[in-house]
Amino acid sequence: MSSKQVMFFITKSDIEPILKEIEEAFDIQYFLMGLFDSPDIVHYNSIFDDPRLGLTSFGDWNLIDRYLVIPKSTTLDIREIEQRKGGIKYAVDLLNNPKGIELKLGGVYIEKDDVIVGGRIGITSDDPSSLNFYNTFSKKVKKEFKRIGTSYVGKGAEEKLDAGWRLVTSVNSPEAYDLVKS
Amino acid sequence: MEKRGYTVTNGAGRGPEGYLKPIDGGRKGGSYPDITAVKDGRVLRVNTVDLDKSGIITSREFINAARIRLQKPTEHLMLIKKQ
Repeated sequence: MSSKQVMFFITKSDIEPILKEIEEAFDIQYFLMGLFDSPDIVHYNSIFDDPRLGLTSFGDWNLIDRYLVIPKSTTLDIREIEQRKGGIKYAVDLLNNPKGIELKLGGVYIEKDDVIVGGRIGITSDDPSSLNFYNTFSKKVKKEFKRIGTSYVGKGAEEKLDAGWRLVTSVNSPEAYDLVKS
Repeated sequence: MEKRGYTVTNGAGRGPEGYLKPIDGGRKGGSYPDITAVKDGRVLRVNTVDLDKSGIITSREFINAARIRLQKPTEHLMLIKKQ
């Protein structure tokens, strides 16, 4: 299947209630996604254990922390990638984890004033478990947040937008590509 | 790409496809590069493109590529012929 995703802009207070409801409804765990030097992957049993929830130290949503969210009953499948220059790296992504969903929250960019970096929830498989989780999460986002353009914006983030903050997927993109109210 | 140390963040089954927002935040004119990968804080996008009989990129693919370049002027875009 083709991938599905919902994009959003949040502050911590926007997303906290949704995450709490999700963690009450699903028995899940979070693994940091990416290509790593070690198979010891950063992982949380609750997203609230992440001390940077609602904040990001990168101004591009391709670089911000992404979490693979899988049921606690599911074992994480880590791909070993032999490197051309020697050695092995360890990939954590959706390719071998079809029950998972990708969650990147984005949030307030801490390296520059008045910027919120976007986030998203997405899946790449039609596994019933991931679809159920994705549909539940995305319905809550669509219900609680306001649609602006192609994204959903939390109340706190919208207030920041109204106050002149930039809502971006990359702080380095021309401002013409920022989220704006039409 | 992964063998060269790139993390594929979008596409190729590793993650949902990438999306580049349209100008002025509207709903039309967004772009979906086939693959987005990152390494050392830099972003690389890969698009597979159709060629015409003479081996030149088709106008539609050219316009798509030009739009991505406009949306991300400081980032690298690689175009590869569709198999």
